[in-house]
Amino acid sequence: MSPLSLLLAFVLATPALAERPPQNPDPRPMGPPDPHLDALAGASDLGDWAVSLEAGFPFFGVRGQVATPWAGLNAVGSVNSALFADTWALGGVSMRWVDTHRVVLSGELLVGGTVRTGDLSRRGPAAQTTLRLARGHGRVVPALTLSSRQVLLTDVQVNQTAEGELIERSRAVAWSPVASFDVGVGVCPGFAVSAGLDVPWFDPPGFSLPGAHLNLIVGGWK
Amino acid sequence: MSRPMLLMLSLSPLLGCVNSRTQWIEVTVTTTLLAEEGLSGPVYGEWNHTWSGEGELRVPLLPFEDFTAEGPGVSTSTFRAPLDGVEGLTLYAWMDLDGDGLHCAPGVTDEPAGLAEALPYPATEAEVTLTLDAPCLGAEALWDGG
Amino acid sequence: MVKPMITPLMPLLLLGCAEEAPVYGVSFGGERLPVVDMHLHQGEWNLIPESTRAFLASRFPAPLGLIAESTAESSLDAEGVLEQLDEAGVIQGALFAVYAPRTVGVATNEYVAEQVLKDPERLFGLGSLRLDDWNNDADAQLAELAATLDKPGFIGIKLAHAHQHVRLDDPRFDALWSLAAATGKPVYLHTGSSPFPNTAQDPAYTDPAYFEPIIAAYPDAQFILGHLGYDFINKQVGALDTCVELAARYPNVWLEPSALGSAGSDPTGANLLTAYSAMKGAGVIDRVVYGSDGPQSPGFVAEYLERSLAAMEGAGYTAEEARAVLSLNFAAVFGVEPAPL
Repeated sequence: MSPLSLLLAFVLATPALAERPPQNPDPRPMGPPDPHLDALAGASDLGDWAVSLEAGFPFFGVRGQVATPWAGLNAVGSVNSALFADTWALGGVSMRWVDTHRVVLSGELLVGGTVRTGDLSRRGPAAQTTLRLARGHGRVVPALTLSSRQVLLTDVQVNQTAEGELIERSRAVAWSPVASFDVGVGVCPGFAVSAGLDVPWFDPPGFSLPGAHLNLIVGGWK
Repeated sequence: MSRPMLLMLSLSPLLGCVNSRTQWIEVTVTTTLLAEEGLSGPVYGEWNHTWSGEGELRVPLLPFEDFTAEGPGVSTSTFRAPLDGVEGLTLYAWMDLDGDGLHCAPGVTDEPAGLAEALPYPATEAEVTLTLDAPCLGAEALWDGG
Repeated sequence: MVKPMITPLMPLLLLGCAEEAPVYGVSFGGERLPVVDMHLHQGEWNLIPESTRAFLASRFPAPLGLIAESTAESSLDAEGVLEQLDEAGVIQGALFAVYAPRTVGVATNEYVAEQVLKDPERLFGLGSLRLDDWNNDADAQLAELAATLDKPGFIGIKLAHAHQHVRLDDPRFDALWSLAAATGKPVYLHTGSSPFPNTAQDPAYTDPAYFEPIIAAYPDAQFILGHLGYDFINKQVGALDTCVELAARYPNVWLEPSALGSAGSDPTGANLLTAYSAMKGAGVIDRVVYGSDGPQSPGFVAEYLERSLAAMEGAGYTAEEARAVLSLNFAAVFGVEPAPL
């Protein structure tokens, strides 16, 4: 599996970006890095990066983002697991759509794969689209995240018949959305924490227990 | 190596994932049903995996497909049977003499049943001869240990 | 400044964290009544067939189904069962051995014996036996069952024809019924359909009417008709009338209304109320033995008891009738001391 190499790729990209001359299309005033804002908003300012470590019930995970010089896009890598039994490894891009002093609204598109172990096992290529709405400034940043996750399940049936072997493939898409509400607090430059509530929906329409998590967020340097 | 290429390589093991892979066989079974002369009626039953499970869960006779025939005689059935974790193909059948759709409802004592293994199996064509001569017994009561 | 504020709160915080001693019994009709749950399961997750494990995991509230094995095993051993009994105020319970490898799996007599010994004052066992190769190993199975019934705490025999794929009128089990009669150990029978994969759902396997000839032929054996013939597939009362009529006609028939009244199987509680009303109407309350079919999921044992009390109240049971259902009839059918409060 490659999630670590994915993250490594993004982290390795950071110094090169950091060496670029400062370009700040962000209408917000320049200031010290806000990793908690960046992480909760889903995208960093140009030259910035953020990595967050999540632990709670049911989710554990790590997510990294780094701004790229292309069209305001961030490169994003994420490995997230529910109870270490339903793991999603995803990579892709995010972008701030609305970015004002009051709010930041970002969108994110990730692709990758998911593996679920145990008695409800399943696996397949996966995609996740996410909307994040966060307060646009301040030491305390509330943020709402809505994610829609889909996995493509391909079942192969090998049929021995009198005419020979026939292979049938059936495909289905399973959906599992998650909504989260976080409050992040900047502890010191480059380091923040956040706490949040999760409302996952693992296998709609069945009931899912809500959850909660803590994030440690590091990042920074312009 | 470019970053996009690295990304694609990192994801490739996941993109190719198959959720499940199961093996099946499409089998046509020629069934000869024998019964005492004069007895007639529709015949119902099930195709069973002769064995399934492992260890303490290993067990004979797991029904997986319904069987019907108009009566004694020769008929053919074509169906798909799973192959993973199971062995053998055994037919259980009974004759519905009173037409109530039930095998020996309370008070009924004469509806004959039988059990026989189809061979060769697994194969796309198999044969089984089953004698309906055991009144009111379920498949489990006719199982002799294989 | 902070410390003086916290200090007085500490004892309160500690008290809040301390485990409270369980309170046994329930209030009904102005009286405090002891409760015995005659139908409890335990076992090992890997002795359940794959299809049933997936079925069970899918019924756990997500995401607990993702870790179904650890979720289940924490509540399927004696400690987990006792925790649920404590939470419900149930003083005693009976654990079932099960040999149904096609459907609900295997919980061996040895395993049940070990669990019973963990709290022999509160736990009883019902032994069982494999029926799937009876034509070849009947003697061995019977000998093993007889040995199990001799062990401390074993008070009865558990069978589930639909799960074990054996017709209720199967004529091959005379020796088993004779053993039950000779030892005075009642036989508990699952009746009605079942939601578990691979269950034999035909009436010959689920309808207690097929069992009547055996009830009649063995008047010295006691038979407990579990689930009252409930139709768990369609969530209907199923063979309730048959069960009640059999109890009315045969003094060796007992009734056990477990599982059918759960939130999943009877969302409104109407069917459980119908069942308790029918049993009262037929005058067979003296042979109704309470059971839940727990632990199933956290809190199930307590919730089922609550729903059962509501049904008894709705059906107009007196405190003495409820006492009979909740504990005295258990003592009567299994020949044990009445449960203390």
